[in-house]
Amino acid sequence: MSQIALMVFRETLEVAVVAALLLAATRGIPGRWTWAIVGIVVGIIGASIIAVFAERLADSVAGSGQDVFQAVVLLATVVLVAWTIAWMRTHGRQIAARARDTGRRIAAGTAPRYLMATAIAVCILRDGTELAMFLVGARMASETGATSLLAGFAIGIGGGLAVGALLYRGVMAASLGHVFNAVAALLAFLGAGLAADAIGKLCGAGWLPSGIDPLWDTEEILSQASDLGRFLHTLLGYMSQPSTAQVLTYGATLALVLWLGFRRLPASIASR
Amino acid sequence: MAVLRTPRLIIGLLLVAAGWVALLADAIPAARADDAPFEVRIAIRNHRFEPAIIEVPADRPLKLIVTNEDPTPEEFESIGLKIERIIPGGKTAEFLVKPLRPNRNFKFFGEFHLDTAQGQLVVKGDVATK
Repeated sequence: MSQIALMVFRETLEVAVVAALLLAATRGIPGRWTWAIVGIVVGIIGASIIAVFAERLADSVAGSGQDVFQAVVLLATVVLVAWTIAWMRTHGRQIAARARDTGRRIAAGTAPRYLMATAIAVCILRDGTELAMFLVGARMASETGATSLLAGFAIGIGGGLAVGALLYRGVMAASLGHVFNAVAALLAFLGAGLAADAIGKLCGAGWLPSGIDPLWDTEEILSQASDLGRFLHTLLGYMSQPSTAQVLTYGATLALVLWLGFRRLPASIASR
Repeated sequence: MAVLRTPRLIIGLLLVAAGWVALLADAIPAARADDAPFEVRIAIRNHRFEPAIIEVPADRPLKLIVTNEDPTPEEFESIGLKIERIIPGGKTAEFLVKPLRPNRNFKFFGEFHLDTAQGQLVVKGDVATK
């Protein structure tokens, strides 16, 4: 059971971190919780469907179907995160100024709730597919009974959600009034990590050159497969054996998203 | 400030473009290595890799042929090799790995059974004879 719980926890964690940060970034947008739930439900349904067809997906595109699927999903997440940040940067002040009046906040714009919901759905699509395959396997291996499977699943999900809630609480409390700045910075690192992951998969599938690989090797010092390594990888994009292509992508994405989140706005938008 | 911003953006984009050109240039000599890939066969049996430690030659492309002999799916993953793919029970997956530099270790593992499914690719120091 503990192994199932651990696996479910790991897969839930990534989704929880993305969801927590996006929910913090879109503070003030009406209906964001409802849309987050819509995103979760759509993601779970989608992941279940893909898990059923996973075998065929793997056989298509000369065996690298999974790599391409993962890369596309990762890049889509990066675009959605960047877009949310860009939108909140331009419209956040208007939303905050009309904080007491839901109707006027809706008038100011609701686009980020759809972006956020799609990002959550897409994340679940990726990690959920893996999880579904794992659970099917665990059920097939008859040593795992249905009860301990369910218990492990519940503990894993609960743990992941707890970390997400703590992160959300922490970010909201620690940054008093400057929530958006703190969250935008964290999301920039997270997005850069996801983009580097996507490029790594495309290099691994032989679609892109990887340059010097690995550029550095800290696997012995802090393994990316260890629990701390995984967490730092999810949150900040820590890589133990990155290729040049991944490091370049990381830097470029980080710079782009930070610019989107902290760029100076023309006076006309800022004061409107 | 606005006057400064556009050139800075252009310089940034140029740097990224230069990086990618360098990568592509680096990829050409790799493509020239026209040796047949060195085949490595790995079986997954009872959630363990057989063999778990594999010596491979340096500077030669590799072809990893991973057969999952268990009935349950396994996710074959290696961080250093940038591989992560689910192999359903009873199926075989092939991975082409570009030439690796000598004296390096690349760990791989089965994400679904981390306690047992652990292995390592050891790249030998001497350059493979061609």
